[in-house]
Amino acid sequence: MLASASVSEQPVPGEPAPVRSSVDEGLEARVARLEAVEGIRQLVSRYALALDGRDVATLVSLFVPDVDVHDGRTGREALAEWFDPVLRPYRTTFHLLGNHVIDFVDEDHATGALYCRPEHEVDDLWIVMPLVYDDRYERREGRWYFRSRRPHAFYAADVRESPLEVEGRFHFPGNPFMTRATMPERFPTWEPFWS
Amino acid sequence: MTLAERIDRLDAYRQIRQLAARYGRDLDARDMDGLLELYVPEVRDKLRQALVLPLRRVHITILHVGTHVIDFQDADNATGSVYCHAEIQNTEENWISQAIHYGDRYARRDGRWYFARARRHELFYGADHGVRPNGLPPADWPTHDTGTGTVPMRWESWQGFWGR
Repeated sequence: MLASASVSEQPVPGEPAPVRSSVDEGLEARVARLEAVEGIRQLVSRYALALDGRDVATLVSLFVPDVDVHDGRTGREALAEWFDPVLRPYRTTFHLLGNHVIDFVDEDHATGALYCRPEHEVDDLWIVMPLVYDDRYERREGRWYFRSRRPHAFYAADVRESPLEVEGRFHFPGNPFMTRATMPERFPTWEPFWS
Repeated sequence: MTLAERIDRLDAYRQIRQLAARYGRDLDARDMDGLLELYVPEVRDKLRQALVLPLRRVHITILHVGTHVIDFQDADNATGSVYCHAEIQNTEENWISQAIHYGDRYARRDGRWYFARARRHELFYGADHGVRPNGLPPADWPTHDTGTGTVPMRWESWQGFWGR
């Protein structure tokens, strides 16, 4: 890398010096891609902290201003109204993030698959719900936001229950948003593997 | 930011994330020298005892670090929030789990990032294996390894949301 860079930056006798070498442009693009990855990684961690802190103002600021809300409306204000009842059926929550696959569509758009192992205090139960977030990210004026985010659960069960003991691998009383376990069956490669 | 400054910032993110991961690995390994080297030199002597004592109480530890928010104040100073799910053998017969929030400060010295002070260690909860964390008495960590912690209840946004 460095060797070829220094070679390409040698002035060619009789030709005007390039304004910007192609190596620099390549380097700029690579730095921009690394910044994009970092911006997206910070985005998902901020979401977890804001959710566990019930900081709805911060939570909705992480989405594009014209976000499509699950109830058909648009915008952060509507999203905040939607979040409020969704965040009340449980008290303490703990969103521990893990594996994060990020795929870029172009310079301003990316998709993500992010593993999370959230825990929820639901009355007398302590519900664990390993899930994968199906994310779309979008860059606006240099900052990365969620375009959309859809969680898909592997199971939901109390810490004292086996996921196999609960019907449909899903036991999460009073959750208005998450109602069933759809993973790993939702992976498009899952069913073909077994058939 | 110039290209050099942008690369510098990316390197800062990388090093700070490494700090959190190395802390977990070194603590689990009881590598006290490695652990102390993660801190700025001037706090190491004072921290050695503070780090060693709680670790003498416990046996096997497994610190699984996850969620990590990093905020830069300037090129050489940053703060962070780190989540950790810990499994701990805290007596011969006792296996517990803890959900931990670390409140961190980071500082750069001669190109390297360090913890700038002792990590603020806050529990969501600590609970014996197979025990629900609901409604446990306060852990008042480090007095007790199990019990209800201080977050998220301490956070202003939490209190505002629930109208207290």
